Amino acid sequence: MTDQTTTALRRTMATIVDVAPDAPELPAVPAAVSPARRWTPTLIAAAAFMVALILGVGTVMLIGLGDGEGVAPGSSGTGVTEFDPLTAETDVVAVFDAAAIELDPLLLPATVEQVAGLQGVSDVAVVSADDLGALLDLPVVPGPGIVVSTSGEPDVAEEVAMQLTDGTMDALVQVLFFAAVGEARVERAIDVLTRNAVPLVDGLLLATPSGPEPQFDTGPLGQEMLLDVTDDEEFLTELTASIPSRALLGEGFQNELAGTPVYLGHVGEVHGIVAPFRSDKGVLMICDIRSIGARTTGMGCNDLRDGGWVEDGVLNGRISIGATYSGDSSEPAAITFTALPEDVSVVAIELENGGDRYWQRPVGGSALFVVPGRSNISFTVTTFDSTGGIVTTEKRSLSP
Amino acid sequence: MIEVGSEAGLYARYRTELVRFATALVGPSDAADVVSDAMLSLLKSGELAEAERPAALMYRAVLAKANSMHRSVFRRRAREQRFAQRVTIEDPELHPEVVTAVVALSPQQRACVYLTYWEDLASKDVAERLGIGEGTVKRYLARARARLREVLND
Repeated sequence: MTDQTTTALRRTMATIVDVAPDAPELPAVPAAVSPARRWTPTLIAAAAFMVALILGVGTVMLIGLGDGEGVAPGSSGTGVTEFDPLTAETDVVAVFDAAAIELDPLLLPATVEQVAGLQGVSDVAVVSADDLGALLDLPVVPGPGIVVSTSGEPDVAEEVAMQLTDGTMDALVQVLFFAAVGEARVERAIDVLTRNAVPLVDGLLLATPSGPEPQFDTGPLGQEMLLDVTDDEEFLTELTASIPSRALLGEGFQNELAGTPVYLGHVGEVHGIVAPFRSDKGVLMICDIRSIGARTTGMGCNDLRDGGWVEDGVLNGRISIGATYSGDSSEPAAITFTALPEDVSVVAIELENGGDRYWQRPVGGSALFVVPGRSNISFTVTTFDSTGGIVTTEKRSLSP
Repeated sequence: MIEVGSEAGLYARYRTELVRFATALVGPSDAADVVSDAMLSLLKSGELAEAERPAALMYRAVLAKANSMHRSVFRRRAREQRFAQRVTIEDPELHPEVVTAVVALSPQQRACVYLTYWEDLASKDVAERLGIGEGTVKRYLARARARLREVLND
């Protein structure tokens, strides 16, 4: 039976095939290239030894770097049950069994490479599916994917790849992966924020434009919302003094300022500041601060752990936009975007209520839009590269 | 003359389908590069000449290269956006939202969709060609179809 979905898919495939280019010529290969090594009993035995070694090392790394309360002293082998992922703040991303790199060539090399290539991730631990199952006490189901091999001995004749269930994967990602990725992303955002910032007054930097100049017509995006910078040193000193050095945010977290705040600019009487804070749990966050006049009136922090980082068991490299809204209906609202990708040239928002549209060049990887306060604000934010190509777009609905 | 069964012969036999497959994965502008890179890797490794299932090996190599290309999601999205727009313009009868939904699938999902709906392979054969489990293929297809059903029902 051919249903509507099947028909639509067949038509789409046909259209894709229609636009396929001509096949390239077979590329020339330099002479005297040795054939790849094949799996032999000797190699398999050697690989099995390496797998066992790596599993042990990976486990030790997980335990050794989990430097939090409730983390038991390190041991090797299956001692991972002593590791409490819920209290771990580790630099380690736990993935896989080395055997899978050979056995599941479609998915794993790229995945491991991507993890290892993430800025701020210095170690990639290797851990088996069994160990992960014990670690998270969740079921592991057969199927090729992100987590692998049970026995440690690669068996090229049978599929030994395994895949975590969605629930297990989510738990793993939340506990082990996001911790590393969040820190890396915040560090990267702070680097972009401060890299070209210039001193404004004591204790306050000024963000400078970031991202490439737009090479496209920004007219259709609405009105440019320019950020002004005041040169009133007395005011800026007062503004700096109002920035909290400690703040209670989240569920009892005590956060401390972890770097010099950076001034984005102001729209009317609303001033925007972005600063790094670190929680008493050691979590690094990027925080946006709204001031009305020289008085801090709102603050929000993001540890950047959220976002759709895994698609079908494969890391996709996506970086979501951190947006924090503060304000109430009687005051202007500040919508601040931080941690924008470095290739973002223009940030544009379209308010749903009234349809006002504004755009802005980012400064220090951030953007600040000031709009009339309402009890609820819904908008679509879109970021563009220098050619006008959409980098990201998403809808947000926020309430004070 | 190209020797049948030689690397050149194998490539000549499958190259049209490989570049179509690559187009489904990365769009037309990068498809030829992906195929070229995949074949270069295979030729360097010497695996193709010894492969029992050369077609599967070539398809997997193309998918692996496509995966590598997808590491930068921002570039990918910009590319896919252009791709989707171009396809929509060229076939006004096509559901543009379906094209958009298809290009938003992961490379693995798209590979399964392509092999199922263009090459008419059964799930078992798709699994064999891509070197993944049949259950995974069915799961990918189910997710893809579910996503597309949402689009079509909107």
